[in-house]
Amino acid sequence: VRFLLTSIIALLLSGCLTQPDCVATTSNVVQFRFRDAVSNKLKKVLFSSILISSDGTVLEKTLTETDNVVDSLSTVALPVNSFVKETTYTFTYGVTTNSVPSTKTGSVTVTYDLQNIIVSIDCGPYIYVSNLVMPSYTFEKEPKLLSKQLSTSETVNIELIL
Amino acid sequence: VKQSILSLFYSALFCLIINCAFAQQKDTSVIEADTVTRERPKKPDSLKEKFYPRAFRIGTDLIAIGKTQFNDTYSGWEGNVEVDCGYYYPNVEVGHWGRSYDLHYGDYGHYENSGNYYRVGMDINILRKDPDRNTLFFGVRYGHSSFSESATLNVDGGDFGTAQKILHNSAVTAGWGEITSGLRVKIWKEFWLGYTARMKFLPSVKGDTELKSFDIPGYGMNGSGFYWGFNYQIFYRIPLKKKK
Repeated sequence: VRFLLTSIIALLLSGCLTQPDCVATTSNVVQFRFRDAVSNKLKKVLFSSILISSDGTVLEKTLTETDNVVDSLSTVALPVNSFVKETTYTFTYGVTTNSVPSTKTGSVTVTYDLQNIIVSIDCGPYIYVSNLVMPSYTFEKEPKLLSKQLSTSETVNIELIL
Repeated sequence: VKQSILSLFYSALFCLIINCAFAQQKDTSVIEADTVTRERPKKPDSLKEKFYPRAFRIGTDLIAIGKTQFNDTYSGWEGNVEVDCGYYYPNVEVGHWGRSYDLHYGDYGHYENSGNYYRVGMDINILRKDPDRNTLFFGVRYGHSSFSESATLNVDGGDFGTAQKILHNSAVTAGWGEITSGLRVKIWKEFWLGYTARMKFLPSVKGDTELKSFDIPGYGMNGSGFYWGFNYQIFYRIPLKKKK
């Protein structure tokens, strides 16, 4: 009986571990990378602007100092609007065709599922974004959806063929 | 956290008191056995093993009553009926629980729910020949809950700012399993006192369309893995006519 009681008390103490911590393993950013349409190799792209529009709001991606140093981006992480189920990204970028530089614009729209979650009393609410879908685009070549799950790691979600 | 530690301390203290009382009761019987030569007539084991209802024990959870009085975030009650069938105690538990939380002192908003639940199951008593019908048991339960919940949440949308969302789940149902263990000790005449410790698992929720269910009445916080429960209960035993 004493052994059983001790075991029961140990089980009860382990109940202290039921509160989750506030560290999120998911995110609300879509990770893009870029592939050359001719050579089929990953490449860096010089962007003039990147616009994020959703539900009447348009945000411009601020290029960091590091971005300006390398003058181009190999990957970029852009946020989704987690208050509505659709966000559109418009990229204006430089290309060189037959040694002639020019500027092109292309956009891609993503939709996703949203789930409102209360993580814990202390951590508060969180909007879980999942099941990323790419219903439309204006690029010449169809972008590839590589991962439907948004995460805090470097997992690439969409590959643009430029 | 402080509340959880205090709760666990009282739980541990209660277990020790029950354990000491139980051990003391056994010691007395040993002394009586040493001094009195005439042994108590034993009932045949075959009679005790038969599965038939000997009595009902009707009880309630004292923790739920206490929390309703002294805890602003909880209101509820729980009633229990168990049938003494020898080694086996089929039982039914019904209750009501409502929660009301300010999320991080209200910075993140407010959550509340209200609903009813029941559990059905069976306990196996491992104290097989106790004349006072004390029980030390292990058992299983299936739990089911029907409830509603609502929340006003202040949500951070990152680059898209913050927003207040008002969410409501009007008809949510949930089911889960439990493994239980506990004690029932006779304290006076037809009254028994005891506890039930519960390991709850596999919550399955339907109807939480706007907000993932945060707190399930009868279960606790919704999430993966296990959740623990504990009841202090007082019971009144109603004997049934002995089977001939």
